[in-house]
This record gives sequence, structure tokens and C-alpha cells, in this order.
Amino acid sequence: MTNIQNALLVMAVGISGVFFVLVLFYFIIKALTKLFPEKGSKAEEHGDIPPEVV
Amino acid sequence: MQELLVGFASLNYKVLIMFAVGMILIYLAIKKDYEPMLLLPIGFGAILTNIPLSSVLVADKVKDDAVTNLAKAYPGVKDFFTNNLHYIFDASGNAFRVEPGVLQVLFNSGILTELFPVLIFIAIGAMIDFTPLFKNPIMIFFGAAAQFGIFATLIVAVALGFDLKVASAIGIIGAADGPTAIFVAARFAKEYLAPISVAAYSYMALVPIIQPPVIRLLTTKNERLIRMEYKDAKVSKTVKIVFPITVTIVAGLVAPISVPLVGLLMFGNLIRESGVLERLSNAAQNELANIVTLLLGITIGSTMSADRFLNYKTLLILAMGLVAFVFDTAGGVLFAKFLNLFLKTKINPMIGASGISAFPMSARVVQKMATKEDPTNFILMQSVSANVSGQLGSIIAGGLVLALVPMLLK
Repeated sequence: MTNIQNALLVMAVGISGVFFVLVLFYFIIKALTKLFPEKGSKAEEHGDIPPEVV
Repeated sequence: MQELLVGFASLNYKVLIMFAVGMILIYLAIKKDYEPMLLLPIGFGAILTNIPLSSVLVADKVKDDAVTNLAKAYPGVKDFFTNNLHYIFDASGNAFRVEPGVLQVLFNSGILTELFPVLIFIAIGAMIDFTPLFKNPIMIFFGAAAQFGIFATLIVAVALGFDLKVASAIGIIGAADGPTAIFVAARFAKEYLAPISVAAYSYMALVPIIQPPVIRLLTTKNERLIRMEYKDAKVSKTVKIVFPITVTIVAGLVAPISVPLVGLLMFGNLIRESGVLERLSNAAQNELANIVTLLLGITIGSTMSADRFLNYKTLLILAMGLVAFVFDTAGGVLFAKFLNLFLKTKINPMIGASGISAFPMSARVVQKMATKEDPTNFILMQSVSANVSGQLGSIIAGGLVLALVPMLLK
């Protein structure tokens, strides 16, 4: 293959590869934020927040 | 008396030009505040290395008769001695064993081994806060789109006659990430390490000048006025701890050659987020970052010798650095506009430009442009999310280039 052909191949695989990996990271972030929610928001979901003292 | 004047006698116009180049870099660092932590040491290193007969690179030369005789009998061994055993040969074929000077020692131990860039990654990792990205994970795609400049510049460099490895190192200027550029250049284009590093750091400092015209050219006023809602989500400490470990494993499996880059960046981040290593985190962000930056800068400057730097290829590389940043910006903005064709809730396309790794400058530039169009439009948090993802995108792009290019050249 010529240099230009190799360069175009690097571009095609490179850009696709970067997108592919960052898509993976996107799903990793989504999964982690679902699996390990912030403590406060977990309590809110389960209605565990004690009633306010008036 | 003659010995005292030998330095003056050895001055020539090329040396004077390099003195001027070094002084210009120092001026830009001090007067214009353009990345002073790197440009000042680089500029001063350039001056040191170009002083005639200076011993910063070569401390001493000792004639070696055995190697001289061997090279005369077998001329083919000259390259081996030159490239691997620090020998030089004069015009008569005499071999001299070179005792490396202080900057050569730093170059051999910090740049050739890629130690300095990876240590800087620990420091950068300790400084990065991925929380904005966790709150707006959709912005991660702009960190990918804005790496377009790397590959576009690679093609331009090949078209201009550079071989694939050197073109890849030139393209990596578009990563807008100094350590990644140095890491790739040290592997693929040692002879062009100086202009590639100078270009990478200079253009990073010039982001506030480079990006706005490109953004304005590619967007309409209505697009720049798009408002984006910011939902402030809470992110747990566990996420912040598990993320760097997971990313290291995943990125390492995809491109094992990128493990020194990604792994040490994430190591630095883990030190920061663990909450139990405050001293190490502070040391990484301060002492480690400062010491390595200081040594890295002056060592890169030491590679700017007149004979290596003053040629048209250096000027081409400096010009292509600008091309890389322009294509990066265009790639991010155009990707956002493409997404808007399918989205009901539109994205402000300026945010695409924040996907480059120049953190936090690019995010600030985009917010400034948004404020100029509409003083009540705040897209800073979305821009910061994209900017942070650019750090990930640039390292992944660097790792993929390091993996792909040797495979194609086999």
C-alpha cells in the first residue's frame, strides 16, 4: 500500500477506534453512576429520609 | 588568549538565529504569558545548546584507537557505534567516545526512555476532575470528534512527503496534549522532537486566538445563541474511584501500547480521588509536576540545535501544528452540527470545539464566545465536560496511532 493509503487507513481506524473506546467509557460512566449512586439520592429513592422536625 | 576567543570565533548566522528563536520563546512566555512553564525552559535550553562548543550536550570527547581501527577495517560498524554507544567520527574517520553533557544525560534518561512524559501524566491525572463528565456523559463524544485534527494533519503531512511514522508524530500535535506529543515523537520522530514539542505547547497557548475564528466561520449566530439546560446530578465517591481503574483496564485491553499513557494518567487520578493519599496527590500536582516540567522543558530546548532546527521541514511542522488545531476545532463543531440534525433539544455547536485536550482554556474560550453573543447564556459546565473528555480522547488517539502505524509498516 502507498503512504497515502496507509494514512487514510490510520485515519479511518483511528477515528473509529477513538469513538469506539469513548462510547465504551460512556457506557462505563452510565453503569457506574447507576450502580453506585450518591448516598443522598439512594435514601430519597427508598423514602428513608427521616421526617423534618417542626 | 586565543582559547578564550574560540567561542566567538565559532559564531555563525545560524547560531545567532537560534539565539533569537530562544529569546522569542522566552519573550512569549514572560511578556505574553504563553505557557511559560514550558516555553521559558525550552527557549533557554535552545540558547544553551547553540552556544558554540558548549559542553551541555557533549562534556568530553576521548579518542578511541581500537574503535577507529575497527571502523576503518569494517566501515559498516560506524552506524552501530554512533547510534548505540555514543561515538562520533570525524572527517578522517577517527572515533571519539562522547561523554554526555548534563542536558544529554537528561535527554537519554528522560526523553529516550519516555520517563518525563509519563511522570507528567501522573501529575495531570492528579489535577483532573472528571466530575463534570460524570454529570454530562454525553459530552464525551466531543472528546472523540475533536481528535479529527490528528488524523487530518497526518494525511497532510504524508501528502507533503513525510513518511508515515514522522507524519503520525506531526499529526499528534493535534492532540493538544504536550506529553502525548512528546511520547509519540520520541518513538516515531526523534529528529523532529523539538519542533513538534514547541508547536504543541505554543499552539495550546494560542487556543484563544485559533479557535474563535474557526468557530465563527462554521456556525451561525442563531446556533451560537443556543441555550443548554444544565442538570446538576450528584456523583458518588465510589464512581470517582472505580472509573480510573476501569478505564485503565479497558483502554489497556484495546491498545496495550497506550497503557503507560492511560495507566499513569488514571493512577494520578486515583491518587486524587481515593481521599486517603492527600500528601501524594499534592506532591503529584505540585512537586512532581513542577520538577518534571522544568527538566522536560530545558531538555526539549537542548534538541533545538541550529543544524537540526533550521530547515524548511521544521517550518512545515510548525505550520502543520496550526492546521491540526484548526481541524480539531472544525471536527468538534461540525460533529455537534451533525448531531443537531437528529436531536430535538439542540446542542450549542461551539461546545464541540471544547473537545480538544487544551484544558481548561478551550472551555473558557467557548464560554466567552457564548457570553459575547448573549450575556445570560451559560454553557461553561457542558464545555468543561467536553474539555475533560478531550483529555481521554487525546490519549486514546495517541495510543491507537502508536499501535496502528508499526502494524501497517511491517
